Amino acid sequence: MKNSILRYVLVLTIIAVSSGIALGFFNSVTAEQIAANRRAREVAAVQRVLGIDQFSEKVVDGKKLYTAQTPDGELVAFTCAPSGFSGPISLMVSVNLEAETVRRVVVLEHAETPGLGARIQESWFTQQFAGKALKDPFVVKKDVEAITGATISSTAVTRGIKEEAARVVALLKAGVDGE
Amino acid sequence: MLQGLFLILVSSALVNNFVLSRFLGICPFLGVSQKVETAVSMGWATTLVMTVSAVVTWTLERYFLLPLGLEFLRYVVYILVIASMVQTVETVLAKTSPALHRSLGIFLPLITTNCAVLGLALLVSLKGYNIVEAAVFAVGAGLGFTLALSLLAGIRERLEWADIPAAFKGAPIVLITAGLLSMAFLGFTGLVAQ
Amino acid sequence: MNKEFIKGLWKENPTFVMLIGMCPTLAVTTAAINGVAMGLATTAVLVFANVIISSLRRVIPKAVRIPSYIVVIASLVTITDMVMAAFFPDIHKVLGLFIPLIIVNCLIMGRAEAFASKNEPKSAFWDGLGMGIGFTWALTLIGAVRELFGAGTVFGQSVFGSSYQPVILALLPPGAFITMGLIVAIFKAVELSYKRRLHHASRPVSDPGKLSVGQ
Repeated sequence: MKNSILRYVLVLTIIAVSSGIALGFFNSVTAEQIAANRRAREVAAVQRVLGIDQFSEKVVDGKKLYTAQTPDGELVAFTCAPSGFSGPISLMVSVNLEAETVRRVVVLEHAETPGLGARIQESWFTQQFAGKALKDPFVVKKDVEAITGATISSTAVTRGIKEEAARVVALLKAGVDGE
Repeated sequence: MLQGLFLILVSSALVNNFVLSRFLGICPFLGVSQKVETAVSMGWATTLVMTVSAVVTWTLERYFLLPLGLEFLRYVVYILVIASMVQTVETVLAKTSPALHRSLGIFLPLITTNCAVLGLALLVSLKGYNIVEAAVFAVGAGLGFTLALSLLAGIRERLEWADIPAAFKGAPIVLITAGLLSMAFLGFTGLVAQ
Repeated sequence: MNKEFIKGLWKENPTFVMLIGMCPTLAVTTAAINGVAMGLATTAVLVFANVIISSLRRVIPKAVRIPSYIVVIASLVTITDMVMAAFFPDIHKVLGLFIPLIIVNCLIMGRAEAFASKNEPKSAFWDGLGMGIGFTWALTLIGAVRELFGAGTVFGQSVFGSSYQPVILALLPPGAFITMGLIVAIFKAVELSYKRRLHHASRPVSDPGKLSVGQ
């Protein structure tokens, strides 16, 4: 009896230890590549939304911002995640700081209904924000065209952009004044 | 605070019902839904294990895996916690409440491989909940599972008397019924924003 | 080709005949390509788990076999998860939570318990490969059907043309249950007519609609 319990413990220990070693090994082999993939995805999204390859990063008040100088003026890109119809909608937005206009909007991730809310990804919808002044009302069905049958998703995106853009611009202005 | 917890509860039980919209726990959903009575028992047993294991895995994640940088052991640790929680719940029930143990006993071992339990533990760490939110999320998920299971069982009891075409007898009609239930639950989307 | 390999493809198909591993089957099959990816990831875990468990079948005492299998399977799934995140990041992102959930796919635990623990590694390998491929083609078929009706495409290739109004329901959760139900019914109808033709044959035909707890 005692012998068999000893054997159980021994077998389980050997299996657990070898599994730990195997996982540690695979972790050390893949960790770098996984981190590189994550970084590549982030960089690609920023480049897409800024429309330029070179940008710098900074953290202001806990918010990560990506900035770039272009002939049109200084651009800043940031992410925001307003609540949509069935979960957060993850967006990346770029704003022209001098003109105070939205430059581009890219939908990164969402869980909206296919065929309805999911159409927030379509270019006709995101492109209507390009060049829009931040002091515009940003009201769906007035100055923003809504997706038929997906007013909640459309409103979420519209409001998310306006609110976060206003916050980011205010953060940057406060930073400049404080210096 | 309380409002936030309530939203988590409603969202995990109805809006993002584990079975009908997240597809977690389909095996017991199809397998243990012949009778309402057993379905309800299975539901309670699962809710109990879910809540206990969500709290334990949360604690281990926070105070053991993350500080030591052992995130790569997460899946192994989680599933072992679930398997031992199932064992513990079974032993405790057998000692303290033999009647409850008799009615839930045969379902307990099945819960280890119920993907809703592991899925819940993983979702908690993904969503970055605190321990109270994790427990509420687990209770809500368990209630939603119990609800879906007993609803399907109620319909299946009636289906016994229905004249179903030969090819649809058994699994096909159950799957289609589940589809209709899931469609009804779609009505909850947008009820609360997560 | 041997019989351990063949049985998983049709006669004991894990998805359409045994109805196990339903969670990933319903959850990830919104497109054919997801079905292929999920199926192959599961096949990889299944083949390795079968071979390892079968090789250790004389070493692992019966009383502690379940925890031992769980550790082996969970480790293999973690490795699969890391490899996919490193080398196939896009598909890893789509499958998300359902990669770790391969651990509790009843198919893997079921084959470990019912086959690998009783047979030598070579048959366990073929059993795992056959079951895995059976699972993969089933997921691919469901994914293709849902994608066809839900988006008018298969593997991203347009089938119905641009004037097609997609049936969004097929991509939503109810569509998963209903599509699966209809495919199993078709399977069953085929088996029933086959059975009728073999009226005098004594060999019983397996019942595709039989529900088992599957765990």
